Amino acid sequence: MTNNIKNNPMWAFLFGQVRSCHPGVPDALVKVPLFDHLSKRELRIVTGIIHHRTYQEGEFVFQKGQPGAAMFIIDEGEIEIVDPDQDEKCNVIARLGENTFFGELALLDDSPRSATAVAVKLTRIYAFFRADLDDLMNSNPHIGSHVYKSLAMIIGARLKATNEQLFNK
Amino acid sequence: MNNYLTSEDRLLQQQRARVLYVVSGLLVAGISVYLIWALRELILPIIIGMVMAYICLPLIDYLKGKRFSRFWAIIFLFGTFCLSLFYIINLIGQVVPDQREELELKVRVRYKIDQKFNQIMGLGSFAIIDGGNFFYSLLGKEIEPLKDSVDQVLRLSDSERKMLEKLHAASSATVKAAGGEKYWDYYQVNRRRDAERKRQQEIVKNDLRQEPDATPESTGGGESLLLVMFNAISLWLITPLVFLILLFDDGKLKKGLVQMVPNRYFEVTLMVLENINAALGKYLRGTAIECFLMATSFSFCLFVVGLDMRWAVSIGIIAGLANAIPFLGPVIGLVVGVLYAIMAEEVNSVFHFINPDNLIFAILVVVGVVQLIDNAVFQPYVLGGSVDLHPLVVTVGVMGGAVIFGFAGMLFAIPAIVVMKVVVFTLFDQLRAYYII
Repeated sequence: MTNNIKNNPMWAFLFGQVRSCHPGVPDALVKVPLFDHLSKRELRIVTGIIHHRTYQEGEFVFQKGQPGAAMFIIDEGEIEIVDPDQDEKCNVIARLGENTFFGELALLDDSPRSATAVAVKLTRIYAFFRADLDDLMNSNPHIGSHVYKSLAMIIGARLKATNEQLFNK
Repeated sequence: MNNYLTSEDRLLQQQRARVLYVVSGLLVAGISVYLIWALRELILPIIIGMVMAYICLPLIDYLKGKRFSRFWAIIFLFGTFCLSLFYIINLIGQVVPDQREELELKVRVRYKIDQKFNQIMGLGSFAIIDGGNFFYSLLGKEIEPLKDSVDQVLRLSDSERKMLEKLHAASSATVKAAGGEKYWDYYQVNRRRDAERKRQQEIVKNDLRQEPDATPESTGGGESLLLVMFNAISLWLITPLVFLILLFDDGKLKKGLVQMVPNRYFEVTLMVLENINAALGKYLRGTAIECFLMATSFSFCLFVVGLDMRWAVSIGIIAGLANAIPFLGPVIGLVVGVLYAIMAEEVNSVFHFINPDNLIFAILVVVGVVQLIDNAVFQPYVLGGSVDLHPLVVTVGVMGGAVIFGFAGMLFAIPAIVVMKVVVFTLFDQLRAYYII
């Protein structure tokens, strides 16, 4: 029932549950946990600073070892995260679809990318640049701190999952 | 659809794309060069508007952080800026003399410059060609054309001369008796000098083009000056427009430009832009704060030395702004201060030993002290190491900028070098890091 209400555009519009109908805010941005808890106005501010890119099939978004400068959110298409070190064929670590994100550690520092990201097909992506997040902390500390908090929670959750995997082995 | 293309077709497609890129690139470059040349008078006002907006961006961010909306933050900043400008113009307006004062000032400055020049060069009161001391033989021929051009500016036109004579006639006898019309004596001396100079020039350069008449300004002179002022003002109206547009733009322009960059260079471009932004921002904001501190220090010291408040603040502002030009800035401050010292006739200093005769030395001391404070305090603490440029690079850059673009070149030489330095130093590193080269 709750889901029905959430997915109903009218209820969503009235209660702001599903934010995909926000004018001027991409769906992908609304659905990414990093921007959870942001209001419509705040989401519009974030929309104003992200970059829209289109990648052709087989085109690299970034390569392992390159310094990280931006996090990417998939709007449309598919991205493969591969580790080229394993063998010549490249080991596929993950295949990511719409409304997912990758490369988020680049928001913290410019340490080298740990894997390569390549477009499986024609893919539209939103890039969120680290320096823009830094600026956001000055101009809109409320939004910036929310993003950092979400980022910390996501990384914490991943660390927890990794630890559990290690203990279970 | 591209899957149906043969390799030959793909090659042809690539060739066509390359031709299209080259032709459109050349076309855009050609049009850009033509537009820059045609609109070259607008470049300086636009650049100044851009620099001002750039300097103000952190202030907007700060105000936004204090829960101002962007719109109100810009309005607040623009309002403060307009009020400050109004105050400065008003202050300078008080210094700018009225018609009578202007005539008196012209006469007095001309007289004083002539007097000091002749004094320093060891010339007699009316000597132009013969005589002179060591300095005159060394520098006289170089400085004289400069002095002549200053003379041309200060020389009274026919109508001004008539007005001055009318004003003198209208002055009460008591004012004349009290020596309140010293300028009239100066005027008489200037006229005698003019007559003597003209006579000597006619002897020496009989066959050369005669010096313009003592009344170079035609009756329409005033109108043309107004027209020139109107053109200049209308040209500079673009500065606040650019300033406002860029502040309201909120990064859309940068986003649009980055959009055109191919994916392969996307992150590199963002990184290089960020580095340029950091270095240039640090330099420009540091310089703006340094100029403000210098202007304040100059104004205060000049006031203490005995200059009238209006003059102290006006000269302080000029010296402070000029400080943005390395090496030449302090010289400009010094020249303006010395010019005032030359024409000053009364001084109200807290130090009783300072009088109009030794004011010039007091100004030299002020310039020296303020420069010392700048080098010891302002530059290390405000600018820090933001401009880590070799003095030779700075000197050649400023001179080169002056040769190519005049005053604007001098002013923007260092920021341009800072940008080039950052681009050169970071671009190659980033291109290597991103496996592009």
